[in-house]
Amino acid sequence: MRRLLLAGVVGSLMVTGCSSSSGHVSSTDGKPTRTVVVFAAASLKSAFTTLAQKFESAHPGVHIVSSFGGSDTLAAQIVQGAPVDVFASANQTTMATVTKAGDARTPTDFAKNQLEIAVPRGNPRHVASLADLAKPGVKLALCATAVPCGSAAAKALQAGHVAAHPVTLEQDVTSVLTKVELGEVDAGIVYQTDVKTAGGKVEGITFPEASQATNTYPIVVVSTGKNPAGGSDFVQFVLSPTGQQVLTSVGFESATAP
Amino acid sequence: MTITQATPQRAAVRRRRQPYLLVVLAAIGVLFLLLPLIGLLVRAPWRSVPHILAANDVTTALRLSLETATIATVLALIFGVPIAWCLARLDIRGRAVLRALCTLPLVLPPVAGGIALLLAYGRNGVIGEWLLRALGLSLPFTTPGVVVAETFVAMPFLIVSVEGALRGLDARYDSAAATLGASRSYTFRHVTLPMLAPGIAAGAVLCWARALGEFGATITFAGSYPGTTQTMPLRVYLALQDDPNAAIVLSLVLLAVSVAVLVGLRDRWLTT
Amino acid sequence: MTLTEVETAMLDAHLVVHRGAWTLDVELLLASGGVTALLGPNGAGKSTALQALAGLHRLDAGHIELAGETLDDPGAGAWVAPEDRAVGLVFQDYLLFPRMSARDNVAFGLRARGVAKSTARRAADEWLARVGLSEQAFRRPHQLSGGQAQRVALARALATHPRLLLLDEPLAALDAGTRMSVRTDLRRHLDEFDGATVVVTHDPLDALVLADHVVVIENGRVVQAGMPSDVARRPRTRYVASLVGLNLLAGTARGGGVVLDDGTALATGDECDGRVFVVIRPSAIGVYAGQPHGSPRNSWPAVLTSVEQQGHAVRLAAIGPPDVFVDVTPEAVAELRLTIGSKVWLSVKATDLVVYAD
Repeated sequence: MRRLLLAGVVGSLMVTGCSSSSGHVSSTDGKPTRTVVVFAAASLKSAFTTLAQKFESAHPGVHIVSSFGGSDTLAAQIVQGAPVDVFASANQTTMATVTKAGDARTPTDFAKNQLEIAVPRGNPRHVASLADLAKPGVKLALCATAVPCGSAAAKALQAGHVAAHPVTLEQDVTSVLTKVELGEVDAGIVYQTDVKTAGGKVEGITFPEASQATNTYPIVVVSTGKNPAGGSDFVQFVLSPTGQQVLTSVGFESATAP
Repeated sequence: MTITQATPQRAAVRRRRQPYLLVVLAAIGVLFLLLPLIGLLVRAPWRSVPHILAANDVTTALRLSLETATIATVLALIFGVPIAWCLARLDIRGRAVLRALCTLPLVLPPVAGGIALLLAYGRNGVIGEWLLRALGLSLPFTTPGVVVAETFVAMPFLIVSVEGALRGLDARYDSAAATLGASRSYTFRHVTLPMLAPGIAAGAVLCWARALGEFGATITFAGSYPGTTQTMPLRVYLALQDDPNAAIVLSLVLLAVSVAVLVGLRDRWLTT
Repeated sequence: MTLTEVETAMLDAHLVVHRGAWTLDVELLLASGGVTALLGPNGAGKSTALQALAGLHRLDAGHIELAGETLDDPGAGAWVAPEDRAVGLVFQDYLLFPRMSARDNVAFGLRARGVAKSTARRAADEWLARVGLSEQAFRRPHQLSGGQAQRVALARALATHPRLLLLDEPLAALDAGTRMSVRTDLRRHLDEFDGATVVVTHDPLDALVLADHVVVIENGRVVQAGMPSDVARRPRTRYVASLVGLNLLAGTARGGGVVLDDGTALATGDECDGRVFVVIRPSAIGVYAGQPHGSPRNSWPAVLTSVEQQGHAVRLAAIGPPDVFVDVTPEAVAELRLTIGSKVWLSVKATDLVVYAD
């Protein structure tokens, strides 16, 4: 009996996937043709929640179900067959994973996001620039390079010739932000949208190298979903002036901006 | 006599009927447990294994995982066995509450556990703040931090296992030892512990396996950095994102290590 | 109760323990080398008495003095823990430590008291040889037979040279065949033991073979005490009588006869007066289809309530009054066609009645 129990524990550990995605999938309302499933990067959480509300009030009877997380995680899930209607990722690389697998055709860029340094309230280590991140005694949190935020941060650090030594490489940008909010790290590289959303809980420090590592966010209709028409409608909404206004209000830049 | 003689075969069949329902259910259950493992073995990219192993710096993550899991198990033994003894033998008020609290990590989602650990031992944590100021010690983002997270989630397994074993012991052996002139501590060392050994061993194995596979609490409390805090499960999750084949191979490595440990532990040591 | 011989008592105990529904209240006085049997039905308090003597249960009142040392005296606040008493206890199910060899089990008491390993092991070997188990020295308890385990348990208790040896139903866990030989062996070991011994048992044969003094306990009280043969011949309670297979009746004697409590008058030929017990052997009662006319002076009508084969005889339970057990041959049962509900006449000679004062 003990052996069987042990085998079961080991077996479940093998495929452990305690997902660190910060989003959650709400339950469907039982009307599959009127539900639109959206996968979006963690940094899009606040913007897309507002967009979903506005879309639902403009299209009564339609229900948006959103899931947020690291773009690479979401892309992997779509490739594994998750039934999704819309995918909005934080960079081109993660979108390419989906298009290369044949699950989507032509993505459209809909927003841009710039990096910003986030520090805990009060800036205990007096971080003022990218170079300060490499100062001894400064605990820095970054996203893993597989995550869009992480690859952008790496590019920015390289552009600024800063050899930083992070203490952790998180799976998504929200985890980095949480660590900064809790004061566990002295600084983290996140998006300017995250700093804005966090309100007074963190302070933001812009840096010139950020413009060299902007992430352009693409959005696309995914073929694994059950409501391609609804998905297409939502994509159009995001690209519409109303949608774009929501995005810029939380700190995104227009995709067409230089 | 004539009545039973007429239907001897029917009586024989009735006597030998197997518990078919039990066997069928058991077979389905075994399949359910084994199929994922079989799937792993069948779908593994066997030809690319050496290449993937070389490219992914598996030894670092594996060594870190094995070291932290083992240290976590040792800590669990040092503190968990006494806790189990108190829960089983001491008659203190609120024992049920104490037991519930000690086994809370069993039901707490690992990530929630990680957050709780941060709030206790993090830089601004209840204890952590003092640790940092007084001793200059900081646990998050360090290998000891990984050990703390793993001990937190795995120790309850040991406590539950050992307490169960202790309760199963006949307390009269203690009486027998006393009449022979043995003090309580001599009795514990020479009578109770040897009888407890299989239960402790089983609990330690369970604890080690749980520590080895811990993900949520580790990544939330200790973070993820290669060499320091990136254990095998974190490595597998990371690989899943961009290289599923690597994820499969790394999972196979974990599976092989676990099987080796199980086989190495002889059945005799785990059963009374 | 007092000893017939004047000797320095090894054990002087007055055990008082409150056990919910009843209270144990037993006085024991034992000499060195003496073996006392505590006889009684289940739940009478025998095991409680042993536990109190061993120190596993504290007295509520009374005292225990062993070889002059006070082990337990609630009134004076004196208490010696079990590990510090020179008392050895052999449990009913032996409780040999399962993960140790027989030899290490026997050496345990010595090792626990700080004796060096080699010395203790040599002593253990000697004891195992004495109980005839040298070849089983390295076996684990689960590899020993019942009789072997009992001997190891005995050796284990004796190895620490106790002053008082307690045996709790020593033969209860053995099958009938082994019991005979083990009982004889045990008698020999107890003879060689120079301390005092208390044997708890519910088997009168154990008391007869092993003990030179019997104390009968019922509901926590001593109801009879004396030499085993005396107790067996002259039981004072139903329980003892049934143990030794005798009929016991109570009544008042008046010149040549006894009037039983149920009203029946019996001619006994004894010149007793006052309250008496009357004992009748089941085999001394005759069964007749009708009222017998002959020399037996005592006869009465009865109805049978059970007919059971017991060995070569058949035991009948008859309701008179008086109610008695009767042993007859199977042929008699067949001849008289005796079954449950049969109406018969029972008769017994006055000389077959044993009468003694209450």
